Amino acid sequence: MKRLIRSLFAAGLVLTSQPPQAEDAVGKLVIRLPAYGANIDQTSVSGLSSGAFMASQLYVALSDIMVGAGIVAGGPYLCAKSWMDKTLLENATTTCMHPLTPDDAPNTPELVRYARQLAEDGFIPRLENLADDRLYLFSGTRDPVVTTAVVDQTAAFFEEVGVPATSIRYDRSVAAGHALITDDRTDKACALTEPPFINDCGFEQSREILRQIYPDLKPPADRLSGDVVAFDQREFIDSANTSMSDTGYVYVPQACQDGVSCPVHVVLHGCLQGAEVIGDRYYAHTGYNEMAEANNLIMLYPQVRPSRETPSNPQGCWDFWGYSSPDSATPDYFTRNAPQLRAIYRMLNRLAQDRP
Amino acid sequence: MDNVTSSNAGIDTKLTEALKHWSDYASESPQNLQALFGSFNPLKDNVQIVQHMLQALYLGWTPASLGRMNPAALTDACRELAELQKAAQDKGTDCCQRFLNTTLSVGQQIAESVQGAASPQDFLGSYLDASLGILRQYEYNARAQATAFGQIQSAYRAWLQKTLENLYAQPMAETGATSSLPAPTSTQDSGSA
Repeated sequence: MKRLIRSLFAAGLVLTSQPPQAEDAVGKLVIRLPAYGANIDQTSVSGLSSGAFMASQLYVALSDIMVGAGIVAGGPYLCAKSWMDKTLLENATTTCMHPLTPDDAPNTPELVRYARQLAEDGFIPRLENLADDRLYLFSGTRDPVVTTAVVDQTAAFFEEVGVPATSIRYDRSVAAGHALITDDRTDKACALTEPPFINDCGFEQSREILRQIYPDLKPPADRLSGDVVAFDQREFIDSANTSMSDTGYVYVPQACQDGVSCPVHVVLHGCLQGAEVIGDRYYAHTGYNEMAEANNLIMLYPQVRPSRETPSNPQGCWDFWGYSSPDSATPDYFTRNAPQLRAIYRMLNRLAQDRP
Repeated sequence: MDNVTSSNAGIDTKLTEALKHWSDYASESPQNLQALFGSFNPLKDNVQIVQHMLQALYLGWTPASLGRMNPAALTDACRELAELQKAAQDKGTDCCQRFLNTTLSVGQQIAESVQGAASPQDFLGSYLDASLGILRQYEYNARAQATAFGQIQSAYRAWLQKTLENLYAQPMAETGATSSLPAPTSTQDSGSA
């Protein structure tokens, strides 16, 4: 793969508008995100924790191209707007994570009303787009960070806005801590809540997510046809406060490079899980790429990094309370025009462009 | 700190490490505080809450119209309040218990850490490391307590809003205005999509 990329550089087929990054933090060659003629009308998204909140946002804000989502320990769309006499940050860190009682959980009726109004006013696509989609939801029974009371409201929200109950698979049967689940004994024990928040509970959650969204997928491949590629995220970012890393990652199976128009699945890490914090653990060792290889799916791994001052995002979380617009009292972090969402949308558009 | 310790070749390695741990702690604490305070902006927070209220009113939140009160909702409100108070009390007890446990274990942790020290410097290094560990436990407890207070306060505020809504529940009004919806992007973030 590296040889191919170097030859593309040499042939002038890979051009950058900014000074190219030669390597990422761990010495991986960084390229301009190539165009693959991807089929983005079959896009889906999944994420853990802040990545799951972001997955809700991306899923609703791009519902015209989405076919499903996987939400692991995450709340409903617009969750930080649940209770009117609290700030977005207060809602995000209490109601949307570990409410004291289920009565303080996300305020689903209010969130549904607001989502409908946003759709009616054209800030997000029609909610009717969700009617033929498929969702995977997960809450570990030992998760102290985002409790089951919150994820229950995620299920309630999506049912209320039109995803059929029969198309939602909600698993709250596993005694898991706050983590993405794998079947790898080298990961943390299932019930723990500890960095890097990837736990061995005896099954590959990435596989379950993708099978729920795209029924009839083949079993994962034993081997990958290439490497995960590091790409320059900077060209997709047009705001100073996104907290997004310079480098993102993508896995493109050989068939998708050779002419098959493949759907894209966006994978969003949680807080303290970006590549600058845990290296390749999330984008290379959670089972997504093996499923991509067997089923001709492109895996896109956008990245966020910690930022201590402006914006205030010390744990490198995705934005679900408005930090990416620090000067606004009514920040937009939830429509297609939100700084992080529009950056990801641009990445999808690049992948969909015709091959050079 | 490295300059200090590197120029004193006679200092025990364990003591050097312990001093470095304290030095790291001293530099990371202000950074954490800065990050914490950076998250709060009272003026912006107040504007944000007012905006939320305007938006809720715009979406049809009309308890202020004081229609006929629903007596059944009062029973639910009292039950929810009782549950909330019980949960708050449990949280408070947990926090006290955590502090108590840490305090009770202080002597034992220090005694165990300095046991078998081969030299005064070794003793001091172990003592410093154990003390830092205890300080971090207290810090963790304080964070847990702050989180619990946040949860409790949040729950009472949600209860108040929900109670008002349920007591004076009105049919939702439909409006066509969009003035209170957030602008798609802030000035700072404007750019081509």
